[in-house]
Amino acid sequence: MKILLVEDEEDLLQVIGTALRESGFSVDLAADGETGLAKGESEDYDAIVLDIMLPRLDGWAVLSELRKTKTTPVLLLTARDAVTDRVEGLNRGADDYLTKPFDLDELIARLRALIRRSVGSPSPIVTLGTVEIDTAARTVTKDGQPVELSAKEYALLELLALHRGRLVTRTMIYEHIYGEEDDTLSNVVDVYVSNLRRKLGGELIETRRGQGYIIR
Amino acid sequence: MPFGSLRLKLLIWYAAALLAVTAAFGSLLYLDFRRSLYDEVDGRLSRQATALAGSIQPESERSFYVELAAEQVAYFDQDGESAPYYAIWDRAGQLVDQSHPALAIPVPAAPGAWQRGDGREHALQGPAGSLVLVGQGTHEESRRLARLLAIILVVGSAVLVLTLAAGWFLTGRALAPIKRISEAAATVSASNLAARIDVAEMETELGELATTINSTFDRLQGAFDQQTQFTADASHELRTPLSIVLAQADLTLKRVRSVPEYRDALETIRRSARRMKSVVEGLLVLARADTGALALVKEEMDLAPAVDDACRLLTPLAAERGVQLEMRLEPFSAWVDRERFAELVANLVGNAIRYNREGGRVEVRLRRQNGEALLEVADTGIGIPEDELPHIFERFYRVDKARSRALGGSGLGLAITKWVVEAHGGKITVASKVGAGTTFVVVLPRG
Repeated sequence: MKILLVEDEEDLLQVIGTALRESGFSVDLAADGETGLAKGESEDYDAIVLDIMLPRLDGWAVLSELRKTKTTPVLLLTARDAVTDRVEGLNRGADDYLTKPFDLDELIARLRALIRRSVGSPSPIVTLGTVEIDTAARTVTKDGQPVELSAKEYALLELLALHRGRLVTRTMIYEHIYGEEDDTLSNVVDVYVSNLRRKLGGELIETRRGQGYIIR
Repeated sequence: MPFGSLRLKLLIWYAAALLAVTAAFGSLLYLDFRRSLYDEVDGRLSRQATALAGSIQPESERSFYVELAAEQVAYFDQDGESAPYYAIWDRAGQLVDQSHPALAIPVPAAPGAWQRGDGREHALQGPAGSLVLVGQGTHEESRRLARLLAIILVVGSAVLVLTLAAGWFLTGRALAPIKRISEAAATVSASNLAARIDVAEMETELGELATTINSTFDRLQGAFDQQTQFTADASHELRTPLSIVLAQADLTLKRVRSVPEYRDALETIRRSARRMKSVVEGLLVLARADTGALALVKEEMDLAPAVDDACRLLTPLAAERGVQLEMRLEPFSAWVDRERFAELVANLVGNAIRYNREGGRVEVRLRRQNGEALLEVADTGIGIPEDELPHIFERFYRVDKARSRALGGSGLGLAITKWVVEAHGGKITVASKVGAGTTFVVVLPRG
């Protein structure tokens, strides 16, 4: 899952960024509204965390502008808890909001819920035959037995599972499981896929030669 | 109801004045009419008495007889409640002649005219020591007077009642806008400061009052909005570093970290804590200044060494940023609060260094002008856009938000500086050009 984080406080940007990465998200960072909007418009993020008080272009403007072209779920971060602020945020097309100071776990849980809702599966449990994925706890079981996956393997499995029945192209995979700080030159997607097949069974993930992968 | 009582008071004064005027007018009318009536009667009686005296034929010095002319006999022969009568006495007070023997007329002590019972009498000295009295009932006159009195009373009360009713109505109308003002003022409260008195259809005088009240409400609303904004800003300024502390602690505690990671985390937390500290300290200073609890401790001192000291403390910062700090200070003795003055200088010079360009210059000048101290702090920094200049002394106003925060500014420095200057009876102004630099000018009086 790939997140765009727009926050002008350098320290907060880094802390939230690290926390999201450690929770298995790929993260892109933007320190002002203009950069945030440019990134948000040019890429398909799974969700955007947007601060309201931003230099150059504030969160409201970013949100309004972004909504002209994108339906990416947006979670607003606000330092004011005035009801009007929250109402305005939701009315302008935000999907959720959090008031500073917030709990990191709550931010991450809300982001996951946002992403699940945006792909149309509100339940955190995704069942694929004998394989069960708990997207909240980020755990996978096969026949009731826990399966150990690396962060990237899990991210790939989650991406495919959430887009179940739809083709996931290699470009989408690169966009969703790699952040700006990842080295994406290595052609390791095939390695992750074969690892997943080995751990969860060969028939789970189908290869569409030259196009991508799909889970049925 | 205070307006009812005012209305009633006005009406009572009005009624009292009206009553006095009406009563005076009525009495004057009545008395004048009565006098003219009685004068007429008295004139007639006087003529008759003179004629009667002329009919007295003296016999000697002490005796006489009366011989009435025919028309006199006929005149006094009338009967009725107001019939004229006469009586004549001799020098001894012995009744000599009387027109109506049934009447008991007291012997008058002296000649003259007077009222007796419901009639007038006139007496005069006749020849041979005689005393002639002529009288007449005044029942007709009394009736006319009674009728006049009745008319005066009826018309007077009617006028009084009508004008009082009109007065009640008019004072009510005049006071109605006051009631509207009062009602509108009552609806204005902390939660609804937007209500205003409608001055469109008000009389000039009350319109002025309403306009005055409205402008007071405007100022009140302005102050309130400012306060709300300030509270929101203060909350925001504290929430952000607090979020960093909380998120950093949350993140770091998630699992065991390496020593450098712990050190980084603690440094981040310390940075945020320091920022909160400077915001809280600034808020405290301003809160105490606002309530007047922050008193200046003034002493007479030379400002030049004080400016010099404050600047010296900032030399390391200037060196770190590659900014050249120049001072041109002339001695000037003034009464100032040593600590606050040093804070003021440090704030202005600190800003001039922080918002400067690499290799820039900061010039601090102190000189005398018109008997006042003129402190100028000029930098060669980034400058402030013209439309932002009026706001820079506002609390939490930041021209470059990101940069100011990164430099650890609380957003309150200039607000505090302005307060310090004004508490000393001075003035602070700013001139700036984007890209060229900013100059702050502080004028402080000697006293």
